[in-house]
Amino acid sequence: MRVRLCVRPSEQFATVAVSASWSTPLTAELLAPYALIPFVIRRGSASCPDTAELRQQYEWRYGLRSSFELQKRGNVHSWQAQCNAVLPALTGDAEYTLEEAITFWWGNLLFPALEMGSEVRAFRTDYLSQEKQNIQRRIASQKNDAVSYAYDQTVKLTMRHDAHRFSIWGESEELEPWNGESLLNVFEDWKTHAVIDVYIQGSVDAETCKSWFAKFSVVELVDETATSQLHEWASVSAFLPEQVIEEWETGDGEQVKLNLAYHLPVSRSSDQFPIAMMLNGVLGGYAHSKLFQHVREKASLAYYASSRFDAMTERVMIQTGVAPEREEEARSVIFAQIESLQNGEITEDEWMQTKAMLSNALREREDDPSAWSEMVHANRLSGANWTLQSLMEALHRVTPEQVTNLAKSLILDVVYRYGPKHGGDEHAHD
Amino acid sequence: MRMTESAVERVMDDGLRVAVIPMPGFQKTYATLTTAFGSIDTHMPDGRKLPDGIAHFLEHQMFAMPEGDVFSMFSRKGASSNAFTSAEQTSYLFTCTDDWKYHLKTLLNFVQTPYFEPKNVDKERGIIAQEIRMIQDRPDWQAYQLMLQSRFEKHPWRIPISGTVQSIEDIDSDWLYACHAQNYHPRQLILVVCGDVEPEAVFELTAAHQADLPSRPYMERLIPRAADEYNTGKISFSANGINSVTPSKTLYHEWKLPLDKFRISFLDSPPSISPDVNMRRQMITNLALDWRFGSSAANIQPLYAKGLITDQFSPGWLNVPGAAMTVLGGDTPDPARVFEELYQLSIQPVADKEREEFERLRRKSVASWVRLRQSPEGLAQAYIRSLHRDQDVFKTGQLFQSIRMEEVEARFYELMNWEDAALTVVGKKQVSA
Repeated sequence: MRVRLCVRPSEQFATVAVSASWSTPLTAELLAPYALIPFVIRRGSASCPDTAELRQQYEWRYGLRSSFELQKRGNVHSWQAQCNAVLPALTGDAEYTLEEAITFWWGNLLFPALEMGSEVRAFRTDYLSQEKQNIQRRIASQKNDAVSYAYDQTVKLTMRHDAHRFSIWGESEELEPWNGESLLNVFEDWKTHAVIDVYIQGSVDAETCKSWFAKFSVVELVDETATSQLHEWASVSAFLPEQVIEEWETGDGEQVKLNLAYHLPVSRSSDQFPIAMMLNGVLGGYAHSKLFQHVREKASLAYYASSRFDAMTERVMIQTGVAPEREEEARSVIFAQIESLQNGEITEDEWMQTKAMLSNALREREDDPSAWSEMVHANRLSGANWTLQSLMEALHRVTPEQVTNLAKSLILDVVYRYGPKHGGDEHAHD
Repeated sequence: MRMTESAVERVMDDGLRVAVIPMPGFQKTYATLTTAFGSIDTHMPDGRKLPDGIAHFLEHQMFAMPEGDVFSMFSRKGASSNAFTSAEQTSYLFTCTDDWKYHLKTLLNFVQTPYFEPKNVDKERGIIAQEIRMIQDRPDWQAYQLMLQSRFEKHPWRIPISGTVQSIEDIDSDWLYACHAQNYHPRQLILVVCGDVEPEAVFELTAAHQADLPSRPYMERLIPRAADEYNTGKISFSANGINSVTPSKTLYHEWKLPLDKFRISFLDSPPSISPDVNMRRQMITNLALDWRFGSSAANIQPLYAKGLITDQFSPGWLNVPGAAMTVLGGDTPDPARVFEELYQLSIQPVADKEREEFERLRRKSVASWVRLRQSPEGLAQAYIRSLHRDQDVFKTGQLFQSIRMEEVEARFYELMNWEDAALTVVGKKQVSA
């Protein structure tokens, strides 16, 4: 296992934040094991196989926080494990050290609880079957959050030519064939070959951090400038949609969730990235933006109406929730806003507010212990080289004409709705 | 890195309370102006009943000003602004990284400037109706609401914070002006500023702003928030059986979901003694629930292993003036069985080894307190919540020192009053409980 360690010493925070990203190309075959592995790992470690006891061990270390997140970044599948430790100086306990706490967490990630008394090395069967059920239930409950379900379905449609279309959880039936042994094989293979990006921010220096990881013989520390295939894996395919895909999935509830996906061929490493950020800000990133002002404030159609630009997939996603009988009207208002942007109708106020808001959001990141690692990692995934400062400066140089020109390359790809149809069977429950 | 140990407070001449929580080194300044007016406030001093959802409606309408919309005033200089209404308060807030004085003046100005054009009120009604529909589409919200409605007949905690699509029909600009005059008097407002700011500069700016406002009469609330009459409206459930407790009454909201959403609720006596005692009691309560039912409790793992609960299961203690309850909630394929198993778990005798876990719980609490002081938003909101109860959140560390394991254990059994436990379920209706 090669670890690219990136340390940012800072005296600002009361905790040390560690983030480790395991990244691999997204493939349908490995969705299920990659979803299962982190869930099984958190159930027990080699030194502490019992789940409750493991969690208690974290708490003994002054509430050491361990969490993980499965993510899709472009066509990269990533498992991000995070750890957050309180500085020993704030506990008054001389026996508690960062080194012990963080190596405990790292040991949990690398050496999970295995089946005892078995001839073959395997993950514990009981944990595996329980976590299978846990993930299957999550998959089955996706519609409980209609807003995010509708978003995911739109992503699936608009990313139809890329692996990004797959759900991060895989499909329920794909989880079944995996057993403790086959899952462990995937994990061991991963452990041997993966390049893991580890980011540490807090009151520590790089040499100290290196010494923590050097304790583990499986770890080979590589230079933080070492190249990786991340960018290559993450890139999405460039294609021009020829026909708009329209779908209306009937669902329970009071409201129809209306989602639109537009192509915007701008990656994070492109010079146009700051222009795309401004475009999204003027269109739907904020409360002063066109979508919020026109869909919500002027037409009173919805409670939320916003857009989001994802540079990893090169899409602008629009979301709102409206009464079924007003869906068409909402769509017209959204189209009119896109058109106004393409016609160069950007008011002085919209422009000034968007710039101010984006600068503020970037500056606020200085207070967030995880924001720095997110920025560096996003650069690595996209081959970009932005710093907070360079991005802020680039944003200030963007002109309304550049945004208008870029807006002309927005291409509508998907219109997706989830919810009751107007005049249909609207109330599956009451 | 310096940890904030206290807030600096000052009361303005007109009664506005101001607190500054210095957070040196932070880029972000977070400020919030809060009134103790929420969905549990249901009457005007003259006895008139307010339409349900009016505190939340008023929050929406405050963002309209004669000179334009308030979001733009903040965003022109890069600040994010927002607001929220809960059962007991309405908070207006902003975060900025530049020119906090401009933003603070804007905040003080808009929250104290009522401007309710009838056409704007009508327009907002449509937006709020969509917000209500969006919330109603969430099964977790339905589970929470069903639980409150099943336990309180009179206490206004049962009223949805946003009201209903029907109840907001009765809200007009006259109601909004009347509610603003009553509930946004400086004596009822609390300003908290968190960030790398000088307390004196905040006090000076606020004093100057408030001095320019016309003075207004202040009317005390007619019905105190913790009124005894609410308590007579509690709905009791009596359990049957001794070794096998099943709720005698189980309430269902039918909804086809992959797993049912259950809430087991236990009414608790609302806090009513002295602020420090209440705060200590709350800390003991949280420790007790975490100890027996938290994610690291050995007790809970078998239920997860059997597939009876998911990793979303959590215990909680909720309180508003005049009411308090303990809740065990999550998702399950079999609510009646979870009820039975949790009951059995809670009556198991405590092993000596488990009593030795107090130090672990203490360390976890130390960490939570350290982390809270790294978050301007979290700290400011915790501070306001404690102020509403005349408590001081900065006493957390000190009070913790005085807590003993015996108190935690005793509190656990006090909370688990299974004789009066209710089971509410959003999901499929079962033939028998």
